[in-house]
Amino acid sequence: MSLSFDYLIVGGGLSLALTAYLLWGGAGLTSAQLQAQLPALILLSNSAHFAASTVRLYSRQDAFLSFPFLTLVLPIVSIAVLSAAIFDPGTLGRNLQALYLSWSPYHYAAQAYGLTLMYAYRSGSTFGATERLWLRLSCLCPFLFAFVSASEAGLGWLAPAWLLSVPIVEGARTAAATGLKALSFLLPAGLFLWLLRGPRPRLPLLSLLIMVANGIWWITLAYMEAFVWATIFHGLQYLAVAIIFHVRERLQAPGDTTPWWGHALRFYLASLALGFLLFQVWPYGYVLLGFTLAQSVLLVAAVINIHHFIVDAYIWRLRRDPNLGVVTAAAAAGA
Amino acid sequence: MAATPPLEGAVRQYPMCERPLERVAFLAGLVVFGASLVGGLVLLVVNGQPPGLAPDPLRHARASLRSGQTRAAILEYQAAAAIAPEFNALVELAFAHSQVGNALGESDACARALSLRPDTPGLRLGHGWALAKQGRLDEAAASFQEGLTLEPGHPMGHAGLGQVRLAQHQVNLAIASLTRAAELAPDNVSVRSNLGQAFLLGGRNREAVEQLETAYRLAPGPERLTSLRWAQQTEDAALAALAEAPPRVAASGRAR
Repeated sequence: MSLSFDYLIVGGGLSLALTAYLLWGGAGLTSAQLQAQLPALILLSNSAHFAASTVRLYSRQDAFLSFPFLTLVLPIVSIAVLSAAIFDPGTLGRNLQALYLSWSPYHYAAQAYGLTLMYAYRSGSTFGATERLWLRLSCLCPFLFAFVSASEAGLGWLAPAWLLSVPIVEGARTAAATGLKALSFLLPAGLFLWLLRGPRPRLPLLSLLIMVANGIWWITLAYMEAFVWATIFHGLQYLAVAIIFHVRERLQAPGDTTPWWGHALRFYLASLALGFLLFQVWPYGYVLLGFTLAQSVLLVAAVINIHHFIVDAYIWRLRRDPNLGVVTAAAAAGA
Repeated sequence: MAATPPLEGAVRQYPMCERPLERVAFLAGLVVFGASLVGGLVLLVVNGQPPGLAPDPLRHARASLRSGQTRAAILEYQAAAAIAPEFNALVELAFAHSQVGNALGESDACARALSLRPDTPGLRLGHGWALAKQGRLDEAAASFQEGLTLEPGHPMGHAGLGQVRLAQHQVNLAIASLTRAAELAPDNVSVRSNLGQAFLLGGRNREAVEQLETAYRLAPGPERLTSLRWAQQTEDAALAALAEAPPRVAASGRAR
């Protein structure tokens, strides 16, 4: 991986540049040209990234044996939940949607934490339990902010409306959201500086960038009602990492003669095709049965998201996993 | 070159997987998912409708609205709003309801949209109109006033408030609001027309004739002509009565 690729794509540097452009570029945000590219970018990045976790899961050599529930049972369970929600959109559907919206910032935070640790490993830093706890907290702040402040998800979904409208609760919620907003940037910066002092393992600048980018996505872009861009950059970050892992694994396989770009291209095209089928064609299966496109699209997207979150929770584990081999091999190569 | 398809690992592993129940579940999932995809593709082909690039839950709703199938659009918007009550979907739902004359549905959708973004003056005014159509005049007046607090120079806010005041027979308040609306939107026919009616009700016949003449000039039509003639006749009758009145009464009448 080149340095610029790491900083711009995986670290989220591009998203920071875009955020600055949106903030200070005047008419940029609403320009028709930029908006007109959104559907294509969503397909190429966001839709493909959801499918990439499935492609990664089923392309692993040990997929069915290591993850029998995930590979064999979760698909039919997901379809059953989706069908039930489409039958009852007002109750089940709405709750499924709220679950996905509540889980989503956690998924982003977990990805930021995983990447932060991965780059720390690669740079030779091994953190103890205390450092890892602070790192996790730093990454979780944007999630906690989204959880506390969301109206249709998180607290807005789980807590009764009457309770949230009690002035003292309302005030506490606003204060917590403000505090978490600030902590989303202060904690990573503080942690970075703290680790610079004394004989402690260093936090790479790229790890700091990953944490700050996640904060920018959930706070600044959400505030600017431009969160769709965050999903594109998150997808780009995910695809980059998934492709790197996939290619490294394939290249380590004995007798493999395919060039790296062949593996990368095949993985990406499989993800792109599956993403297109999942998001753009699958909902019409339910429309054929007489349901509205609105409920089909919304709930298909919710179920794909939740499936993606669950699959990711398993396939990116480093301990006792082939993923660790990829990371440590990369670290050794980089050393 | 040894080709290594992305799914090769899993495909090779599957036959060796000794979990009969899980294998049945997997096959069932695969069949249902495959059938959904085939069904979806068939539907897209039959409808001659190319799939989009990004998921758009309001795609059918907007297409239906554009093609005049408003009731189909409402069903789509309602489904979207039931699952994910988003501002734009609710505003468009309100508009769709207004197209079929369902003022109750319109005001409900406006109220839900306003709960998401309370500081939207245009929507507050739209809510006011929807309430006024149902005869909920006090609520409508409150909604117009809230909208005008957010955007004091909105001509339709003053127009709506004036119309509601007129319906409530609060003539002086109606005249004040409609006069402000006419200042802000001098070429608005309904504002001129309503202001004319308000003046007429207030006994200010000459000003009523002026406003109704302006309305007729802006958009000639039989209804406005009738109103204008009626106002002119009222004004003439009033002038005639004044001419026959004792001098002191006539002087106070002209002063008005």
